[in-house]
Amino acid sequence: MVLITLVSSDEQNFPVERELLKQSGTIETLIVNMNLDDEDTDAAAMPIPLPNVKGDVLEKVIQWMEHHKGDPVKEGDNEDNNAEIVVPQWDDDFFKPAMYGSKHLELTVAASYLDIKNLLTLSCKAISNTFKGKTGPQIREEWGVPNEFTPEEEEAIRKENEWSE
Amino acid sequence: MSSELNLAELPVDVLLNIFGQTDQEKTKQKSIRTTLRLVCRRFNSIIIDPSNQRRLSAIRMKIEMISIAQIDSFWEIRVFLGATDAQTANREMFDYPPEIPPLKRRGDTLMRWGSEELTNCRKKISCEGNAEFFEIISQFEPRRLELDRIDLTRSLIFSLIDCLRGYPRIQCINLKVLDLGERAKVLNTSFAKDIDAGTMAKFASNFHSLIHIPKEFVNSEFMEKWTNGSDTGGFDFVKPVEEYEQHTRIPLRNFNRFWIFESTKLFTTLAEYLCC
Repeated sequence: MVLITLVSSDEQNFPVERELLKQSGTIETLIVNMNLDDEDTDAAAMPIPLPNVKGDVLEKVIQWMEHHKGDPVKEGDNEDNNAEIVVPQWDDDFFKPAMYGSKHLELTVAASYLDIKNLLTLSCKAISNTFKGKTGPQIREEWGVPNEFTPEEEEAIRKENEWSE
Repeated sequence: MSSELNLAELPVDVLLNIFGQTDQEKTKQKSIRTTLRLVCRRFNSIIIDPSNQRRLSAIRMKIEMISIAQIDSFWEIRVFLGATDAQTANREMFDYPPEIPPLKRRGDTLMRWGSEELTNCRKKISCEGNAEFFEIISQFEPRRLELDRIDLTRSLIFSLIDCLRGYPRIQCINLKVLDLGERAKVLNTSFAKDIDAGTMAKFASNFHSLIHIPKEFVNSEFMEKWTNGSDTGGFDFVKPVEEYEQHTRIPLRNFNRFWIFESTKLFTTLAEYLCC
């Protein structure tokens, strides 16, 4: 089993199975471009630094990739794909403990940075699911977003659209 | 990365991904777009940014139809949240003068269909406020778009194309050339002289069906551009109309490939030539 070492921003080392890393577009491109796959070169032993991902977040990402090992990897942006996405139970349980906190958001940003499309999609879907049936101020309160609007600004946005609602 | 990352601070791409996956609750008519705009300034600015509209398609309110009319110096935009085909068909039997008073929301009550119950909501804005006009129509994803009593200019058509770009295809455009309500064959929507078949085809390629499109535009160049657009196939029909003549409907189901259409035209021309 080929292992490749990922180094988080806080300099923690994570040896990860080569096969798992195929889920990450960013790392896969790096491996291919730097010949890290070639066991006969020194490059193979070179760790991959990930300066934008902290150790605890990278650990969660690896945990997620391990569970989804062998899943088909999404290609392209699929922006026009209108199929409804359902977060599977395992993923829902995986995201839930950190939901509404910065940890889940950091995991989502890491998925975007590492270009792990399936993780990004499910993570974003899990966030958007928390908006269901809520008002703007309720979403703001639940996610701890500071209220920057003056009452007049808020009223103006409401008024702009109330004719059609 | 900050240790206390906030939802409002996520990168734009990630936020667009989140917004794009937000379910438009089918049971509620309240727009999720407005809800999200009210969360914070950053959400608001991302959502109203025209360059993000393609990725925000999911949070547009799905509606039956938008009808845009030009009345004096105002755009009148009517939004039909839901209507059955039968209701919409009946609608054409009624006359609806521009001075219909604004309608109040009627909740879930099913109203009798008539001239005063034509639409769920309407808004009048000055024709000078084009930005507001496009902001309003970009909130919705209508099944049909109706342009009524509009002086269509080339610049307006290109602005509409810009506004429609990136939308999932709207099923149908009705140019409302004829006022069927008054049973008079009077041109309602007019077309500036600088609008040619190519411009109309570019505009038409946002739609599967075209109703009341002037016959002069429906030539082979138009058909080729329309049917060879980025979203090929699935065209329903074109109903061209000529002033003071009966309109005709051309179903395209039998003309899935343009070359068949062209061949049919060639044989028709040959037959006409031989008959002469």
